[in-house]
Amino acid sequence: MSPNSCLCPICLAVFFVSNYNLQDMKSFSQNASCPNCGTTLSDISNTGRLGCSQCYTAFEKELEPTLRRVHGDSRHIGKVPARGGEKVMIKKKIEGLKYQLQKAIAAEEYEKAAEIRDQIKDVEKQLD
Amino acid sequence: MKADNLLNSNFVRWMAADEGPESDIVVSSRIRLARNLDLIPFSHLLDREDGEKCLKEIEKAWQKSDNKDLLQMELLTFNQLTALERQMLVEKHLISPNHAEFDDSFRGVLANSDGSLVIMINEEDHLRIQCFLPGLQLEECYRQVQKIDDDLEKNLNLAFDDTRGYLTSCPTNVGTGMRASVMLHLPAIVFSGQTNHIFHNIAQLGMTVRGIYGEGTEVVGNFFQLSNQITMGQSEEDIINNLNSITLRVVEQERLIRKKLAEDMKYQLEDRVGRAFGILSSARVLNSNESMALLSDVRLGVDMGLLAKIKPYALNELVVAIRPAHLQKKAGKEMDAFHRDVKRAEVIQERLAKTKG
Repeated sequence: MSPNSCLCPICLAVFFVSNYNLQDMKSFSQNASCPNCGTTLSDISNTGRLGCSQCYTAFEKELEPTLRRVHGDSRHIGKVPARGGEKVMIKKKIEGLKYQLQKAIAAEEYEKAAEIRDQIKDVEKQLD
Repeated sequence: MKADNLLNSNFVRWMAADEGPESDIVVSSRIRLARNLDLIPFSHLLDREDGEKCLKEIEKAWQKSDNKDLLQMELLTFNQLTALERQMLVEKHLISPNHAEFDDSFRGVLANSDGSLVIMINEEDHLRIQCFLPGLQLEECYRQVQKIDDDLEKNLNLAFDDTRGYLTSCPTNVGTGMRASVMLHLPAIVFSGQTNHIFHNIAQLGMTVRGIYGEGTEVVGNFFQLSNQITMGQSEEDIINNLNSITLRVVEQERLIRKKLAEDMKYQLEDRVGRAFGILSSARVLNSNESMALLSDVRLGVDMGLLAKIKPYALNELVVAIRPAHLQKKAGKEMDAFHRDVKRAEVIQERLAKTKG
């Protein structure tokens, strides 16, 4: 198994402390906290958890490398809440497909890329 | 109470082995979606006031819903349940061990009567919508949780960000918030000593292998839980397709080794299954690990057609019925380890005698 496959709070805390981009941490004001819940970066390092939904905005920069490391990616390309409206969902879907297209091209999977390109065209029609 | 069934009966839906595809190896499938309410502190920071507010919002969304599945559910808050009853839900795999540690009035479950749909409230996230079904049925599990998610979302202000997706307490869940998992019984792979090699390969594919009670639990009775580790950069469908195809590859490998065992080691195999059945049928004191190991052998025998009269669902039920909280509930009293071992042997004998006749 890969070294970061255990997701228990202790392993996560160790993981956070050892994997945070230290330069980011140093440049980050020690007093900075989430304006909504008051959680600080060191709270997150200690518990392996964020404090509330706003923490994702408050610590956006600091989270980026961690997300990339854990998920190999830092963007969501899945389900979108329906209340965002149908157009938003379609746009999000196109965005996701375009992202997959880039990945396929980068991996030189041209057949897959062509399939995705066709899918994008189909979905774009729904916007018109 | 309808959901009382979860406490009074050993049986829950995922145990219905005859309903599920590949159920000789894939015991059950689970999908869970982690969801949170916007701006309310995540569960580990909740004080009573915010906790009650959060529960009230969820309750309102549930009651306003016109979704049949949701309306059939019942709310059990943890202040209504004893520690033993909460532990029973853990033993049935319906909630996590961490969740069961709390007795707060703002934590609990919304559950249907057969335990196929269980929403953990204020566990690590405000909502963890879960569906459990027998065999390999990840798509169906997803269809069911997705419906509930859509419906609750109409009346809840969920934490969602265009770039990051569904925002969760732990960054390992952010994005889809989805964990898809299958519980596998892999006695032949373990016997062949290929476990590490196979699990190493699985980890390379963004999946993770754990014991049956989730994070940090040990492997008992050759049961393994296989689940996705990544929740960003992949859609829910991609994650499910990946897990499905990896599971099928593991299933294929397990079947191949079982076949080889039946061909090359017929007598040793039959001997092992027969001995396990013999001990389980006549022992008077059985500890948990020994029982699980022997039940695994019996299960292998049943799945390979060596013990035709025992039904797989009875074994699924037994694996839960012999856990400490279930034994104590059945006995109607608290018991120390030794008396549990005696009760365990009794419960197993009773069950095996029933299936024989």
